[in-house]
Amino acid sequence: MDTQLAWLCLIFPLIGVLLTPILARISTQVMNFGAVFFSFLTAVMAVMMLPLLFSVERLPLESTFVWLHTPIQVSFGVLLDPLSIIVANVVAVISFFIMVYCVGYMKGDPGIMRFWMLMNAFIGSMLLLVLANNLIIIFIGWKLVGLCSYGLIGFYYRDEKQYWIGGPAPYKFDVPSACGVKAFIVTSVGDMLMLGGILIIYFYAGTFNVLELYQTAPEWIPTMAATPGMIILVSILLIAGPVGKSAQFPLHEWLPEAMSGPGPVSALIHAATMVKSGVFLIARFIPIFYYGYWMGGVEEAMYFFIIVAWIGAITAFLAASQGLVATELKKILAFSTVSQIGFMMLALGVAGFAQDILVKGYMAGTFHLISHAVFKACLFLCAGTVIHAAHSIYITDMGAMRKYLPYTWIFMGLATLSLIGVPPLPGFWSKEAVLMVTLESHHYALFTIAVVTVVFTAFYSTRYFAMMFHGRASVHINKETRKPHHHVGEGYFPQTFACGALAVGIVVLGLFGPMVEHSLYGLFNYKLVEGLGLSTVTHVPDFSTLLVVAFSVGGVLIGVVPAYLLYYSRTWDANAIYENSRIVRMVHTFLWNRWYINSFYNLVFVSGFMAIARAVAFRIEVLVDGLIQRILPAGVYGLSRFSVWFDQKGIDGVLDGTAHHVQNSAGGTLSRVQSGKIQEYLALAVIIALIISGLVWLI
Amino acid sequence: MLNTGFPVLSALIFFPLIAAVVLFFLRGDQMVRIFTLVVSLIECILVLPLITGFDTTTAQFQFVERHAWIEAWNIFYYLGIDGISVLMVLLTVLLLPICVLCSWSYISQRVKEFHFCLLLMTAACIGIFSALDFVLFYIFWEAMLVPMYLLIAVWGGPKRRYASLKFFLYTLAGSTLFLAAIVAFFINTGTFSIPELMEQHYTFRFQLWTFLAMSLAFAIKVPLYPFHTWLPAAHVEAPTAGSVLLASILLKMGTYGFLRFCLPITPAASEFFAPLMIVLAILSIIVGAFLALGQSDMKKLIAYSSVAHMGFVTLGIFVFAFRGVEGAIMHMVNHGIITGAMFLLVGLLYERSHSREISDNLGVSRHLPAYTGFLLLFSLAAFGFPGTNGFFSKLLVLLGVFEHSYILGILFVIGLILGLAYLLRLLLNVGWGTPSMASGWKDMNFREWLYLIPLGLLVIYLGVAPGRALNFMGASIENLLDNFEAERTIRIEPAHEPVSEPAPEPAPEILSRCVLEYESSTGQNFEITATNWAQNQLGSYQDIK
Repeated sequence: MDTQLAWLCLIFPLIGVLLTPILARISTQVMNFGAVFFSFLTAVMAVMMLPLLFSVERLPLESTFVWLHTPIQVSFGVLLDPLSIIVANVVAVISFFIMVYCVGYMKGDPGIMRFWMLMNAFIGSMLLLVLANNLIIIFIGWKLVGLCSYGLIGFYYRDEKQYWIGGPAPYKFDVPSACGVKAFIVTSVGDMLMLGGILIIYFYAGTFNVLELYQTAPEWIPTMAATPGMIILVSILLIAGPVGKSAQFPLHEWLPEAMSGPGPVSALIHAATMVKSGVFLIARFIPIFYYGYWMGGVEEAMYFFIIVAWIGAITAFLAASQGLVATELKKILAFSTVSQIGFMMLALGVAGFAQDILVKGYMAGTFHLISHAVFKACLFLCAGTVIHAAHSIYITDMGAMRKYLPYTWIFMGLATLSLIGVPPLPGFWSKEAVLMVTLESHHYALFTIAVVTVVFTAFYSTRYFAMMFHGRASVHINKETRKPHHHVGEGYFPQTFACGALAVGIVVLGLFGPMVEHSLYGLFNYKLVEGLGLSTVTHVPDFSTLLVVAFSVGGVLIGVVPAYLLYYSRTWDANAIYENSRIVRMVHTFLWNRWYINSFYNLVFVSGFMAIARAVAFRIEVLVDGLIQRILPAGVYGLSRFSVWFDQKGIDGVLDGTAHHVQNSAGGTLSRVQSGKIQEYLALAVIIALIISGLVWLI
Repeated sequence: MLNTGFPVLSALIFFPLIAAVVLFFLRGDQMVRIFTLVVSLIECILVLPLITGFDTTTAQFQFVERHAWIEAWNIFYYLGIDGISVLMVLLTVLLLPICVLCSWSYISQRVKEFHFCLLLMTAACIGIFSALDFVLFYIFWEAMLVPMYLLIAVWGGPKRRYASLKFFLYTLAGSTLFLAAIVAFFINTGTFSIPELMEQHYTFRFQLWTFLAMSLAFAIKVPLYPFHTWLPAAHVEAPTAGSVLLASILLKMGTYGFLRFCLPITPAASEFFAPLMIVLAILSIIVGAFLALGQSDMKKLIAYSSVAHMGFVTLGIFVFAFRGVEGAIMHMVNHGIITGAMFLLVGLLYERSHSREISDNLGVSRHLPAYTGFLLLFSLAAFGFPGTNGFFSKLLVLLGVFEHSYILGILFVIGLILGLAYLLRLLLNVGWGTPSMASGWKDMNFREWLYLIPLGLLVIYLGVAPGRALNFMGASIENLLDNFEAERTIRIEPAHEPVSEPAPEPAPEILSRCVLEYESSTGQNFEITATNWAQNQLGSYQDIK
């Protein structure tokens, strides 16, 4: 029965996709209802799987049918374990609320049918990726979500000016269709490398099935370790996929541009769900490398964790610092997403550093995934409403909007507080868990980076919130409100409803935060340690929780206070500081240009590759062609000229005077060889071939 | 060898030929088109026994027809197919009605001759994939050349003379060497029968030379990197139907040749030259992708992408892994479907814009939504997106390559990423964005739907359920690779040369099989083993014993 629920989770969105064009024939209202209804059914199915978490001993459940026998056995199946049930719920439930929001947000859009189809297709593929029981199906879901993301980022594919992002004016703008391509290519780089990693694993383990890989990890990892460097290579290849999908350094540059899609798309795909698939997959891989290192005793397996942890920490810091200066609302949220995912990666990475913190790190990563999904989805939905109301994507064009959007102010305020990490909201609990486990791992450099990131997060969150809703109204807002039929105000009811529902979710999750944390710990402890009959290591905390809380809250205060003074109360003048200090200006330029990573990639990979391609196409190709085309015939022609010369000077020298016309005819005969008549070439060629083959035979 | 009562393969070859003759007595262009379409559909029905009657459990040749032809020279009319060729025959037959439909309005001059050439091409291509006699094979190989040459030279673009001549000379240069190899085989063994030649053993040096002669012909046909320059020229100038046939069928003859002749007949040389072929394949993949990325002409872009794709196929073959070869054959079929469809799509757009430049065909999605849908589908398939047919074949090749060496695998992955880049570049410019001159164009009409739908369905069918197609080839590949494995390391030195060091001990089962064959061979096979070489060889074996 329980696995049927998982199958239904995959089938309902598919029906939604297929029915949408049919329902569209009836009326737009029916189509809207139908699309949302199927995502509702999916969410219900996912929620009905939750009771399984309370009977852990029944997990994991698997249900498969064989898809391909030869040449590789690929089964198509679902796997229910705590991780997949939790992530499936996050995906399905949040998707449902976002779909509700879309009913209002996308009202009147000409491409709405395509939108619903892509959204439902996305939900289905994401659930396929989460619930799949083997790596090939995971990869298929993985590519499908990428395709939906590509379609939705480039949703406004006609590139009208109002949908451009980037800028403002002196800076470069990006058009949606190009942004979609950028996202697709950058993530695909990771995907294809990951496919390579999966295939190497298959080569050693002989199976794609996740559970079998876990069980046999202590056996095949040592075989793999027999080739030095192989495990490091596999780790890098496997991590590349999640790094691309979850927009981690060095493949993080696509996510800011992915904001050119419609608002709810950013909420659904580029904040709450798809970008989390990387974290999910790392969590899937962790047991393999953990068992490989701690049970199989393979030293190299540790590199997996080191790479993940450092990538997470670097990304968290890098993206948060870029968020400090950005002025596009959705881009700030995108940087924040990248940075928060970095936190999750950090937690999952340090989980493998010691035997006793595995469960703690695993739990911290997953918990942060859940809480971040809820509050970031809410933030993006509110941002969509605000951008719609303000008719501008820049926070500098907003200001004092609290009186126009009172509800959105409350919802977004709650979500922002959660992002900052104010107790007792979920962001606080999960961030505290991440910091705790980082400290427990005794890697103080990672811990320091994490705390600095907390400071940055608090700063930019306060900054955008204050600039949007408080302070003085900007020129742009004043102009908008003076228009006779301005709609600087709340959006349609479904929009407000969805934001409100998510805000309630934030509060509830926050109030029950410690409980959730505790039960997650129990679940993963059972699944990762006890369930497999491994020796349980009791975890003795080296540091008190209070210390971490002090760091966390202290970091928040250090970040919030200056931002409050600069942008809320305006006691300090941000512009004056910018104008007066050269260092601030330099830092600002550096951060504004995203550490120049984007320009560097553009230079090397876009301009560089196109330059190589053009050079190959128009220089080397011409050269190769010319070599064969010019030099070979020239050689033949030269030979024939030589023969003619030999005829005239050599033979004729001997036979001088006797054969004036013989000379003519001999030269004529050889020049007739190049008559351009194919049949003669053929005859000649056959003769030559026979001679050559005869020679070959003789040799 | 399995035999059936009704000569299916002969029917498949001769039916288009007879129809081509009948064609000359018809009047009216429309009549010719309808007649050829009907003929092609009947041909599609004729091929059904191949699908239903094909025995997937055996590696032997099936539907075998063998009749004496020129007995003095031991030449037979000898046809048959196995798992390696059956899918290619099916693909050839499938493409004929599509080619007729896509030239329905595009070809308005010399209609009769055009369809004559199409029918001739089909007959010759089926002949190539089913011939089991070297002479017969060579005749078909050359026969295919003439109609293709005419398709380019008569109905081609502005530079058609140059392109057609280039195509002809390149192919001919290769096939002459191939002929030399055939003659060498005949001198050595006294037979032209391919199955018999496969069972012979040749000296290592002989294998090296014949391998080089044959593989050059095939490398030009594939085409592998430095021999590829005829391809873009021919593709760009050829009419749509010509491009489709060229990309879908003709290129496959090269890789088919590797599988049918190089691996089974000259295993030791294949093993020896494998690194070279792998390097050429990798070059084709990477440089071909770069070449495609740098093009502004849509047809050239797809032509160069074919170079890259055929590089994948060659790589899959020369890693000598079961999955690699399986993926390679599957990718031959898939590439035929996908690239054929891509050329159809370009041709479709060309009929509207009369330009193949990307810059003249920007942003067509607003006016041609269905067209853009198909472009997206086939581009994704060409990239190897999961759920389309390109995914499984590339996955299998990749598996095979990773078994061989992971550095090659990584290079392959880089090629895949570059492949995505040029396809997305095409899609980004042609599909999305602001239209340049697409206003007033009509979306696809019924006829265009009609010929793209079967290809689209195949793309999805083979992507979701590749199992049935893979079944066709499993046994044959296993047999091919088993034989290859047994013989790849045996380097027989010529018997008359002084043996300076002790000759490597041949695998006992090979030796015994050789002796058994020698002893049991009666009748037709007798003269093969009666040649000097075989006796010397056996003599030296007995000496070793």
